[in-house]
Amino acid sequence: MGKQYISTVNAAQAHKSDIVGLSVTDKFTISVSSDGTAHFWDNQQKEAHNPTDFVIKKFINKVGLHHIATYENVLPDSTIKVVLIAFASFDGSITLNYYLNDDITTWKEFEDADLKKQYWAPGFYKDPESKQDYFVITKSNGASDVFNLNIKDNSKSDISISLEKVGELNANKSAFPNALAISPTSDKKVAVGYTNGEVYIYDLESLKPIYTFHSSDLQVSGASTTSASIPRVIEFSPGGTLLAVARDNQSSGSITLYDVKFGENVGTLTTPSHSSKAAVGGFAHSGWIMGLSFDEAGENLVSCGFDKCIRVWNLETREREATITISITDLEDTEHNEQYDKSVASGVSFIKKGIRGGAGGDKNEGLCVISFDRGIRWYREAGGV
Amino acid sequence: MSNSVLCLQLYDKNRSKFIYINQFSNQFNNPNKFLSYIKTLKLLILQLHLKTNKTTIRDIYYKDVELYNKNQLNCKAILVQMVETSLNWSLTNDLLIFPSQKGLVYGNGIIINQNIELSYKLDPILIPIAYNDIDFMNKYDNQNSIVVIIVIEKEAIFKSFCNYMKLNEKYQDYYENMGIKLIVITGKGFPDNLTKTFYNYLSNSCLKCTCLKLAFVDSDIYGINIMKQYDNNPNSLYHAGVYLLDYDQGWLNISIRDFKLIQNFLIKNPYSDCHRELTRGMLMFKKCEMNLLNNDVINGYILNKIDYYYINKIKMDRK
Repeated sequence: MGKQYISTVNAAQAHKSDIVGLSVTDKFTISVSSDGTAHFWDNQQKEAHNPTDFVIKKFINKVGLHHIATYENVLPDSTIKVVLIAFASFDGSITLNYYLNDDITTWKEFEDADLKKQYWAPGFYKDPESKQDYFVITKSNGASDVFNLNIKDNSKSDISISLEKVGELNANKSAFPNALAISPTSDKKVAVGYTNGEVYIYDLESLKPIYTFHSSDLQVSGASTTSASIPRVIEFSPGGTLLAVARDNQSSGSITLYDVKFGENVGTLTTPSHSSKAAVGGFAHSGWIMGLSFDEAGENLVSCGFDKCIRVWNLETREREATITISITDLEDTEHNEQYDKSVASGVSFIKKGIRGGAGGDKNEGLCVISFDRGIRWYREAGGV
Repeated sequence: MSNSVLCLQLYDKNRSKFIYINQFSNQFNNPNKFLSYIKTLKLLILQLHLKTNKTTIRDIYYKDVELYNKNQLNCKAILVQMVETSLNWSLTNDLLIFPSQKGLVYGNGIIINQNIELSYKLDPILIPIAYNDIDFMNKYDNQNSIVVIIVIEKEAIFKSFCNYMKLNEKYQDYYENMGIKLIVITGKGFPDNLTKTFYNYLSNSCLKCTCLKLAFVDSDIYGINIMKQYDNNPNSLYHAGVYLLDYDQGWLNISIRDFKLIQNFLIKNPYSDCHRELTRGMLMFKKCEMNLLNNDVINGYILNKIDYYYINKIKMDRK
């Protein structure tokens, strides 16, 4: 327990329904909800501000949103900074929107792509060598579409975007690909988690599977398309060497770490059980895990889930550095719907140093947590102010 | 007479041709079939004479089970063929023969018809064909009484809850003192027309008095669809349970088919009051069934929900 986190601000009743997706960009913390809206919360405000005074709301889809993926890049040979956002909706469609130079008034929808099919989880690959970017989306038929993403400055203070489908990742078409992670490094790897418990690592150029990480579930699956140990969230480390997989383990959640280079299981993250000699079990959370995020240096991993806990893990020692428990009473406005508003932590993200304004924002990393209680909570690491 | 053969001639509207059922036949089943038609004809004539007397297909079937080859569907098929297909009459409107009852009702202090009054002390009864005596506006003190209509998807849960109420005088007194008139109905899964019309009759009877309508269905697309069969108006029949987050174990995985059914439902009903529950099911790939909770838990659960809605809807509205 080496780290401490201080709650800075929070937004109660931030959306009208469950908040299920989160992405932190330089300018905004973006939350998406099953109410069909995306909210852009300004990061650069004083520590004691009221977030609801600095939020921009965009309506995206009436059926509701469930995933968000962001692409943030200053275009090569240009000074234009692009933030391209993919919103996945419960009706199976993907909506692409963008804004330029962190100015939300330049908000536009990219309408040329036909993304109305049975899509689920989107993700962007930003090539660190600026050669070829990709856009990947999993589909409910078991495959995942891969597109070449090309964004150009058209020298009229606007950009042109093109998406060209290059193929499919379809090594495991019998199961639903519910989770997606894309390595941020130049090795061009993408991981897809399927509801039958398996996680496949693909190469984005050849579109071929490299490794398969099987579920540790004891269930004999046979032709089963679902497993009790669904990989609910997967995440690559910033260096691209580790893949963290959060799977259901009955009603608990476990986190398994895989070495991506050699395709090996390198351990699990567990909280202490009743006995140090207990050989079976070992869970990271006592509920399903809904969110994972690595910090900028890849030294810590944060997880959150159904047990209303956020845990920060030191990846070197495999020990917990901090645990934060959330509840409705954390929020400044505790008015809520008892039937639906439960403080299940549905997503979490590390916030890099210098992103959030206020005391300590430049020196300390922070955390942002979204929840089914419709609250958004921001924290910063204690000390250094 | 010995040279003549009795023959029934029926018109099959669907196939646009006449069919003949003979007294004698080489086939083993046909003489029995002929007999069953004749017997049904006799019962229909009797029914016409007693025109005010309502009956059901089940009652006709039980007049001679052997003749219908121990299958109620045969009885129904013959009635439909003779009356509706061939003569173009209505079994219900012209002959007062109603489909067999499927739904059950339980409750207290409500007169359904001249023969039936609901009581906590009695077992649940089949929803009667005649329920015209229910009159909340005139028969009950509607200023103070509250009608709580509970729809339960599963028959097992319904029976367990009714049994619990029947044996538990504490809750009987509690609801009496609060002026709550409880009516519990089930359609045993997807409700038949009689159960649906009975529910609608109850709802319409309560338009001018305080009424709370709660549905207890599985947290999956089938449960929600069953609830919508009763009442498709938002904020009329509340989805009171069960919810995915009520459980801490025992969820079931949803199939791709379930997933697509939810998706289609949400596209058609983007502002449904069940939107949040269904999207959670899609997001987590899980559903949960009511009967995974044991009897004591589910009965307490239903009673707690009645209290919750009573406090949050009725009391708040009255303030």
